[in-house]
Amino acid sequence: MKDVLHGALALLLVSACSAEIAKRNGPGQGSPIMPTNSTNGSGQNVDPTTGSPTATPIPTNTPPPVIAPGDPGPTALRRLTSDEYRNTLKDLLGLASAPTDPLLQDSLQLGYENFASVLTVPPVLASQYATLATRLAQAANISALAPCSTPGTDGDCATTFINEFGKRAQRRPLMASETAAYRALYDLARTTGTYEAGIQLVLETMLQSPFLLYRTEYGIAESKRTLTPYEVASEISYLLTGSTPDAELLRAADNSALGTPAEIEAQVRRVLMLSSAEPSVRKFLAQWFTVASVTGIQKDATLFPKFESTKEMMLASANSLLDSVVWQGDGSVRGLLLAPYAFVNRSLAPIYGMPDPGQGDVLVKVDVNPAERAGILTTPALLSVQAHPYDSAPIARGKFIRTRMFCQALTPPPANVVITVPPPDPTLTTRERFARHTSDPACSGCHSMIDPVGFGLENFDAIGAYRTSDNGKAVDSTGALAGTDVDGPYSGGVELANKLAMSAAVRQCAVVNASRWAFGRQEIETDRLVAANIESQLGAAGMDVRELLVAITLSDSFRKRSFVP
Amino acid sequence: MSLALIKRRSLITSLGALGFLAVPVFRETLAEAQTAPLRLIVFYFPGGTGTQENFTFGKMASPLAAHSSDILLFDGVSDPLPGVGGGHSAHQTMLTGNGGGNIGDVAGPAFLPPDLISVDQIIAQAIGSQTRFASLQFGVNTDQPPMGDDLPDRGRCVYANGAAVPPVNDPQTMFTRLFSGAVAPTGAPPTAPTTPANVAQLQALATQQKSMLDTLKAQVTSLQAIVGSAEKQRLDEHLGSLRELEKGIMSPSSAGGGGQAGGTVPVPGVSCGAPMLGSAADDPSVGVAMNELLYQAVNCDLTRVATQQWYNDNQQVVFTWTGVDRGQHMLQHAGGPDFDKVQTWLLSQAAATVKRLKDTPEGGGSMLDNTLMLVMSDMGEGSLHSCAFIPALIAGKAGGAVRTGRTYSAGGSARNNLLLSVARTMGVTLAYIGDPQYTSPFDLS
Repeated sequence: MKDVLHGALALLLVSACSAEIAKRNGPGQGSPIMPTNSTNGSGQNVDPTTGSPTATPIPTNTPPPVIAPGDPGPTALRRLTSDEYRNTLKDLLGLASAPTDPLLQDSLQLGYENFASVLTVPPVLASQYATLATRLAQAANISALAPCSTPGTDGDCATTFINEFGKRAQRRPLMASETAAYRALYDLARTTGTYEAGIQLVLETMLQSPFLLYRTEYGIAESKRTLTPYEVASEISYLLTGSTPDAELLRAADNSALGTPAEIEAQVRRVLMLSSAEPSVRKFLAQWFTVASVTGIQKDATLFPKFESTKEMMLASANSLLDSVVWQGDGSVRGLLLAPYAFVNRSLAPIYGMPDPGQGDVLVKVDVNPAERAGILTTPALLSVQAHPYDSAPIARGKFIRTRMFCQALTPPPANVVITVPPPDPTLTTRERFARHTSDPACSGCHSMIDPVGFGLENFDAIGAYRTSDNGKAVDSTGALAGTDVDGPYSGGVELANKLAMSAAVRQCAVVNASRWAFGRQEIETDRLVAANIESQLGAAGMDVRELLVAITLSDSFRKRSFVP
Repeated sequence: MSLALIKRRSLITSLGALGFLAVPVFRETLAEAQTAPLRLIVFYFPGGTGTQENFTFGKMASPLAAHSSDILLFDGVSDPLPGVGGGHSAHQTMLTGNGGGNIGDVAGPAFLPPDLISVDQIIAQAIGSQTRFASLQFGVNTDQPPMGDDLPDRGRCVYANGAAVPPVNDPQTMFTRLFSGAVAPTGAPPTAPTTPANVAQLQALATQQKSMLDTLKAQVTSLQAIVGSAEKQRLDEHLGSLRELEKGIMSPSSAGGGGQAGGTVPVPGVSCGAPMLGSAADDPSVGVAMNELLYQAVNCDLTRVATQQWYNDNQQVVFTWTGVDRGQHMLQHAGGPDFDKVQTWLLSQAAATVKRLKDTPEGGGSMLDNTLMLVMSDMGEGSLHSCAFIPALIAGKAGGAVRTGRTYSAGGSARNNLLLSVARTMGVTLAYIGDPQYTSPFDLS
């Protein structure tokens, strides 16, 4: 797991690399990275009116502190993702489906949409929240949400609503001052309007309250380091259902029954049985394997005219595979890698090289040719994402295996490598073009660790269709793994999948990926230690996906944080 | 909230997803300002040039040739900061002048300095309070995933408080934001005749909206008291966003129904345009809509700081409408005529905005005369992913501060110095931007 590839990697997008270690033009030569302390106190900005220097700080560029092994990681303020927000509104208001009003798309970090460090509330999003909250407040059935039948008790009814709905919205009981602030809003609207108008204003405010929008991890007053039962309830619920805690979780928090691993485990196992757990687990897996991105990419329309109309199906098919293994199959990472079946309909059948299963757009579970395909790795969704618009991408695929399946870090090429790309050559296979690339000693040091991994998937073109020839020549799909716990040669995607399925490092990497998703951050040393520990418990059984999620929630770092002022 | 705005919103709601929106809006001018405001527009396009000689009016920049007398062309601007990752991190540095800890091209998320800020946001902080929106970020297909989704978020170039300020890619969303008022009052009548009773009702609604935002701001502030410093900064952004919503609340005056918002007063009868949005989702149509919205946003003085980002670095969009059949990034690596076609098309989009501003009379001249439009790419020679010889130009005279119709030889000077000169021209005098090594603004006059 500690394997790190050092050296020059001029990779990813290059058809072939003839790297030259060259001086750059202009002042860019020399170190391209700013010294980390170059801006500390060495310069000052200037007051725009007086022209005299001001104390305006400029970016300090001090990297975040290294987190020691065993440290559970710093507290975070986790803004709900747009999908979590939509689910939350649905559950709070009892809507038939999650609202689809526009909300800014959350950007992916390490492939995941829920990294706290980038989930901010820029003006556009605040305005979208406001618009959505207004719409929902106006559409809400106030007599159902905040019934008030006894005449003359409006104010009491409002306070009851504020406390009860507020607790669900904020995922913890309201403080008296918070209740009072909401009551003041109600009173203000009530002076000129109806009871309903007053409740609507409170509701509109609560739906865009920062206490709803952010999950906090600040712990109980006595100890900054242990999450409150309410915070634990939210962590469990958003991890496993992508939405707000249900009544039972809040009740457990009320009873302070989320403090011990046994108490947490009981709730986690219950929540995992809820129907909302299925899409949530699927979402994690689809982002881990990058298949979720397939709907956002484009392919060369001349070479792959059907891609555009098929990509939604590719995602649905991959999702069905994930669901099937996790919920109907053995539930393991090994199962995800080796599933001998696929979900195919009339649009996907040609890509799979199969007859149309005959049920139109309905995805039908069919056995795949075991010599050609196995599991998630050979799905058209994954292979399309890990490919160029017009061609396979052995480098990107090799890198995918290294970084996402083995969790190995690849260091970027040094700054003074200039990458030039010779034009595509119709007389060579993709592999031959890259063979040129790896024969150059300036590149081969690292690419010899990457390219042979991806070459094993050369039987799959840019949209994941199986092929035996490339540019008129026979495909060579022999590959090799080095620097892993399953080193050695292999041929084709099925053998590669089998190697990955045997690897403890891959199973451990599954846990690391789950912890990225669970904590919304790049893994820290503690997460890697926890992952190794979980692997040793669950690895022999192939690493059950649900069990590994349970195991993460039982780790100390799930409910503890360190506080960095 | 003025009656006119409420009517507009109900129109928008009813038009919703229909093909075209054509809504008359009124130009809102500063009550006290008689002179035309100075505006900053930043136009970003990815990929640089094929080769450095390309960025001339005779070649890649040909769409802008007709406006050469209104353009200051830069020759030999370089970005010293990216490098690791082969120029891909120029996205982050191009407007911030700060490489931060960005070594993250492959290894993991880039580390962003917690106070990272781009030049447009520096300027927005200085002059943004004068308009409804301190700044606006327009986008066209900027969220295309880069190849390999474990790459860090590098599809952004506008930063404040250490976080990216994402562009809006959906014309409908931007239209609603600009022209319907950000805060729709609960229970507002869809179309209300101007009567004293209605004015009183609107006044009450405005008061309620203000109280709601006060409550939300107090909640954010209370959260700030318990969080660490990094989160404090991110909550500052949230507070700023709520303040912007606040500016959208109008207090109707007791007579007439004219409204006030953020110090601006609608001037009845002065039309600032009728945004027309096509419904097609293809990029050229979205581009036309975004150009229109950007133009109307500055024309109506809703903002004086706008960025427009076209696509992002390292995406694979195939610009079929320019007659090419390969993704832009691959064309960039290869260089050559097809890449030039794509880049020329992108610059024709900049030219459309330049022309629009030029065609709008203002004072004794045109809107363009009072605008600084920075057109710039992330990289220089795209095929090398080098950040030397970055294509950059300024269109517009910025109220006379920029002498156009010439080429400025930067001689390899750092892009930071160009950013510094842009800030100074916009009235923000700083010793440097992003990196204290670079303290020599260009003489734009």
